[in-house]
Amino acid sequence: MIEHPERIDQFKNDIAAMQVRDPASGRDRLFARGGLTLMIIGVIVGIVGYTLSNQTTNPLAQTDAVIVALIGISVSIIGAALFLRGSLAAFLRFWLARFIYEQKAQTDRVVDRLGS
Amino acid sequence: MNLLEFRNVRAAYDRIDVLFGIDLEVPAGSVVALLGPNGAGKTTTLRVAAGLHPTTSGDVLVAGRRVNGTAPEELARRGLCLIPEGRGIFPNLSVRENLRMMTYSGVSLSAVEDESYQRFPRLKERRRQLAGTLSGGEQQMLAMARGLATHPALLLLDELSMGLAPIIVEELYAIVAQVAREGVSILVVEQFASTVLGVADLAAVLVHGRVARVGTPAELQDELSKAYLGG
Repeated sequence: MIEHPERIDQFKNDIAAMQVRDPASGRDRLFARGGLTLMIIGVIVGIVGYTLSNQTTNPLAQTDAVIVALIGISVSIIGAALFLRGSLAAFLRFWLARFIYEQKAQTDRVVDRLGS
Repeated sequence: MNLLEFRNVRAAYDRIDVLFGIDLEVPAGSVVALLGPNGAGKTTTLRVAAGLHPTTSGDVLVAGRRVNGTAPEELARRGLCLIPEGRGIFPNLSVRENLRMMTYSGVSLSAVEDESYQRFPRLKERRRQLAGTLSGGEQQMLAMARGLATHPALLLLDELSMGLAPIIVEELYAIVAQVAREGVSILVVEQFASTVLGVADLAAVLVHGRVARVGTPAELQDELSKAYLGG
């Protein structure tokens, strides 16, 4: 005989209301891999831009090469952001939880000390 | 209704298959014991149920809903709790501080402590002691107290008896039986079957990643002998 059947009903409702992510999409992994790829591509494009600018004395061509290099840097920054989103978010969440806990514990220690 | 159900679930570590299409059901409000020898895939089964390990195929259903790929914290937040092998407590925090870790969901520390100490009076005596210095049985009590503080609807227990004296194991399983009576569905993995069969409503024998037999504890005695001893 179950003493609290309402907990089971609540659990069923909670699970039914849960947004289940399609595992096939693997969004976090996609972000991490895509971000890493963009970072590498960005660096390569930057180096290409630098090389192009070195190979000419024409100021217009050099300006174009600088723009190419800037695009490369932008792509790298976007890639880094996506990589952080995909790979480090879980770790940072854990770190934040731990930080909050430590802060709470420290506050309690200070309050205990002040009270004694 | 089944609170947890595996349908032809397969799982692997890299390229090494561990589960070969298991089918298992945990009806609401029941205790199901998952038994089997070392390396049978029992812990992997629990990890798959908790969302900690991906399936390679098949469906995991919680409360009738397919949850493959759901993050473990999402399942935990809604009432699925895994107490892992090795207990998973923080050894360098006190008992009280370990319990405080369960206040993240907004429950007050005093409420968590009251409930935990009522169920496990010995923890109250040890509340200022570092968890790493507790005996094995007390550590397991702390792990259970922490898990139960989340008010789970589905509890997954991995090798509750590991490294504990038989009298402590009996004490812990008495609490498991009480928790089940309160309406918590429990899937418990055990390598040593004798005590768990006393509280289980159903039992399954897992051998080499396959469910060899499901039945009542009484029906399974013979099957267990074969699984452990061969033949």
